[in-house]
Amino acid sequence: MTERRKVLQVIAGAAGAGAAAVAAVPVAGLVAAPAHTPSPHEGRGGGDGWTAVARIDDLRVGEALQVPVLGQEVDAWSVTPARRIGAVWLLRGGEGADTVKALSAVCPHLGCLIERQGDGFNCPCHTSAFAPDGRALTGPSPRPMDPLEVRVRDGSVEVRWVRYRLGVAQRVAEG
Amino acid sequence: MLNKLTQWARERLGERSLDQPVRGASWRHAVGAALVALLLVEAVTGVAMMTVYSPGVHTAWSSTFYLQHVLPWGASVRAMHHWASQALVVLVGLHLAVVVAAKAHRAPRELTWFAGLGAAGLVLAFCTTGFPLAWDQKGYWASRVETGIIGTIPVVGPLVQRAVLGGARYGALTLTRFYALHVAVLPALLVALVAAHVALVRRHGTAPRDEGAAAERWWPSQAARDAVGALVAVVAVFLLARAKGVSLDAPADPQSQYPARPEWYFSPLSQLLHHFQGPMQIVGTMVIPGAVTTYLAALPWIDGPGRKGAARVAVLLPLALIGAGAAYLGYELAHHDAGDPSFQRATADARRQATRAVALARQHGVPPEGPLDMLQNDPAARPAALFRRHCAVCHAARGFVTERVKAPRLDGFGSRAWAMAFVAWPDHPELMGTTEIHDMGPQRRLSDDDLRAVGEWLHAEGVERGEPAPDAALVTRGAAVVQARCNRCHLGRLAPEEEEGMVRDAPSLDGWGSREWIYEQMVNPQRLEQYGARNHMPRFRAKVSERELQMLVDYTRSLRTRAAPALQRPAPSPPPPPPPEAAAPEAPAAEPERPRRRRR
Repeated sequence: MTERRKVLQVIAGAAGAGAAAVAAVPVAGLVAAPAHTPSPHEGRGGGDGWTAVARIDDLRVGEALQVPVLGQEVDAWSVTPARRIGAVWLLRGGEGADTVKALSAVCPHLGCLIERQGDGFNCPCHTSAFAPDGRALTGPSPRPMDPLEVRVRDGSVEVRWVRYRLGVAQRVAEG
Repeated sequence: MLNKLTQWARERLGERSLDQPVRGASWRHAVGAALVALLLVEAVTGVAMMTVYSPGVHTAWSSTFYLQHVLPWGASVRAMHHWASQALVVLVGLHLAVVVAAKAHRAPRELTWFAGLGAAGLVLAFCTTGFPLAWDQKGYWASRVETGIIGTIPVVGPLVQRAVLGGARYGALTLTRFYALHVAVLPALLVALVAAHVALVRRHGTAPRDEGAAAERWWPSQAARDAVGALVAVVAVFLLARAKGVSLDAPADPQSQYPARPEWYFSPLSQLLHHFQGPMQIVGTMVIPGAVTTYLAALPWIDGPGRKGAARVAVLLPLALIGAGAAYLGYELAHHDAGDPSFQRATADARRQATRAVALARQHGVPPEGPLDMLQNDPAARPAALFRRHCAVCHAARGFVTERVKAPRLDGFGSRAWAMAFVAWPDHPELMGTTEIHDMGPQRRLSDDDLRAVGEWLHAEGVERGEPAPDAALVTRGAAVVQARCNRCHLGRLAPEEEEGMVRDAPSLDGWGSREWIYEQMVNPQRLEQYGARNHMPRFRAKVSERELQMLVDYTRSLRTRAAPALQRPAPSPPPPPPPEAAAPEAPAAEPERPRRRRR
């Protein structure tokens, strides 16, 4: 192999790799970007995070009621006000307002909506069963149903809606 | 290691590899390599953008905005896609010139030439289908004009146009059709044509003059030159993209007036339309472009083997003419636009809209109704837009274009200066001169001090809490003058003593210029307290919502601080003629003090 041939080979390889890199870096950067760039509108729902979901009078002692959570839905560029963003099971243990409990209706397994079954709850997708207080009984759910902060103001039941990471044993809020 | 891997591949793929024998390895051929490299850049940047872009009239602009202004690297990738397309158009032209100069289009290379011409046409088709995809004003309007031209083609035009648009109108289906062409159909065709082109170059060699050169291997003699050519092209595109970027205009608005301009490489075609109008239009849209295409396609025979010297120059003259003609037409359009203030205004306006749209999308996100809705409901721009649509049709005001003024200028309405100008010369064409109401004449007998006092009193009627207080002494003096003189005709709380023959039927001056007064004027303009039955101003309650009415009131109030029309009091007699562009239909009433009964 001649010296000239070697030099040309190096030039061809280096220039070709250089050209590929100049195009590949921005492209890889962009393709990876959505994975680590949250929408700038995320978390700009306004208010203090409390959302009214029901009237206390709508809840009967000992019964569970599923109510939708309305809020601002953010999806990349699009921002939709007053859209259904989640669902909550409300439970009222007694007469007092402090006996109201809220459980996220989102199954901790893979995010299907949990139904009422008998006294407890059941996820229709992979038949995870939960106790009336949300404890996981049988099925693949890695953790109990997720409790949400709840309060009663002027007869109105308010929750702080949080979406938790699915499929893991620990309860981690989704950013 | 590398050798082992090469060996492994050879055993399975055979000896047919890139390493083909070539003759006349040269830098000249690196242009072709640069073209291929840029096509690859287009492919990868295009696919990267497809991971963000969403074709749809409500999402195309929004997703492009997200790509350009939110996602890291998005602006770079989009700019590279744009600048690579520009570079491709230039390099295609350069490649064509190099090929003709090297006689590489002649037999037996006609098919190579055709494949190349076809690929060049596809590059232009890529540009045409790609430009409107962002669904911004610039791309939308350029593309709408281009597809409009299709409809003017005789016989088949309307049919072809419907097929391209996906229906009768330029809309949602046009966008998805263009998208499908841009990302699937055209790439497939281009890959086929470029592959055929390269295969034919391999088969016949690059050009006649290389045929005598010694045979070499492509790798690495030509490969090194090709790689350097590719590197130079890609780096140039990268640097241009970093330095110049690419703009995103405001969201496409089918109802707007936008100065549609194509990309520079289509501006010669656009300018042809300017030179061939009416029945001659077909010359610009079909005859000349068709003749150029036919000439290029037939070039292997027109400039056939054996033609040389003066004969060759003669047959290639059209090629030079095409280049020079295109350059001239492009220059002509650019020169015209640079000297056209209305074009400059329109583009400046478009830039402002673009900046505002991006700011709104950044701040609030795009609503489900889409970016155009977002821009049209801009809380900051809405009042001015309403004023433009409902008020500036008849009223003049700075910053608005009123084609036919039929009502007083509103700059400074409610201010001392405006009030004084009105009392001094009500029938001035900037004031009531263009209306049907000419009952009040210039108040010549009012002393300068009284005029100032009346101006102060009228201004004070509309002063709100928090605004600088009017001069109390002047207001008191003004009130006396208003009571004694103005309100002999005008309605209002400062009633003069009853007098025989006195008819008070002119508009009330109470609260003049206040929000309440402006509101009343808009909802009830024919009320006696406003301007009566002869007032041509429409009632706005049915036309706009209550909230919009309030916005219009606020906007009109905001004009109060502007400079009022500057006009001299007319000389005692005769009144000077009004400016020639708007002659007052009637002479101002000669006797201002005489009670007038002409109303109603």
